[in-house]
Amino acid sequence: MRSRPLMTLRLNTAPVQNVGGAPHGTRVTFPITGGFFEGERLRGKVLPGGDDWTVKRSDGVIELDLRVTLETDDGALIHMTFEGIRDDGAPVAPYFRTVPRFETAESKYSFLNRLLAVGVGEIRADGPVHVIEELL
Amino acid sequence: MLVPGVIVYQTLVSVRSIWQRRYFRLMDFDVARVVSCVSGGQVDFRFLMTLQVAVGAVQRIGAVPHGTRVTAPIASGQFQGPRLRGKVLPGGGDWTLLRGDGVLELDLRMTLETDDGALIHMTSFGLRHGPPEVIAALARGESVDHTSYYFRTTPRFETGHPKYAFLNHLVAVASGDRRPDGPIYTIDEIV
Repeated sequence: MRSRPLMTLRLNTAPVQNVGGAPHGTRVTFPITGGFFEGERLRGKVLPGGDDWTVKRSDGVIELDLRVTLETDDGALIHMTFEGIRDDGAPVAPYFRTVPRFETAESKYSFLNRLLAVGVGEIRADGPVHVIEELL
Repeated sequence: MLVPGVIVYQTLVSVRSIWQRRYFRLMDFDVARVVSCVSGGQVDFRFLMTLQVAVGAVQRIGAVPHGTRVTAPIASGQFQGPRLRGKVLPGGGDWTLLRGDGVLELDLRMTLETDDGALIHMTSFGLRHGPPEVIAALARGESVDHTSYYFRTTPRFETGHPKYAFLNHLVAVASGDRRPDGPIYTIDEIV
């Protein structure tokens, strides 16, 4: 598989909501308060109001389920979701991978409606950073 | 020896944390740019398996609120890779939706059985689209060069078998080739 850079996404999160032990595992919700994204084809900010609904399974893997709205620097709104996993106990290094999807009504960015993407995440001091690439 | 070491380590962590907070606050966009340069086009993939699926007679549900729905039941299939091989059990399906913008959304669920008897639950979401003449040729059941259209999916796996538990811990991507009797997927793990 080949891929090419789409954007780097930085998310700012508010204090987590520890929902606790639920049927599928330990549920922790990360409210998204903002952030930025930047790539050659699009850049802008993350609107407050999204979340990452995470569930830590009994095998230690955290399942991710994110929904946010992006706003480009020229005013387009983009609905973004991803699923993915974060496995801090992975053998070599923490494994934090996602498969983002996008929806937009803005024709300039409609290429986003037609692609699948992958993200490599990293936890930084003030929130996660995702390097997102388009599957070619 | 141990205690001073811990103090030094904690001090370093604390200094790094303060530095990072300041750095991010002052240079929001620069951080994104640096990360992008360092990591651009560098997501690594590792071959997981080739999966060939035979579909049965499709069920044309027709026009629904989100598009045109066609369900393709899965009759059989096989998969092969360095770490696993076996067959596809009948009973799965690909619930497809042709959107108003011409993109076909794929929503697959099926069960794999390895040659040593483990069952693996597999799901994937995908997209397929291309030039109208290529899509029309596919619809007529013709063989088409798979590089002439976009057919990508993101498979996920679940298994209770310890030998294959690594599948529970990975995210995968696939490139599809729609043959007349069913698709062939080349599935890679995101490393």
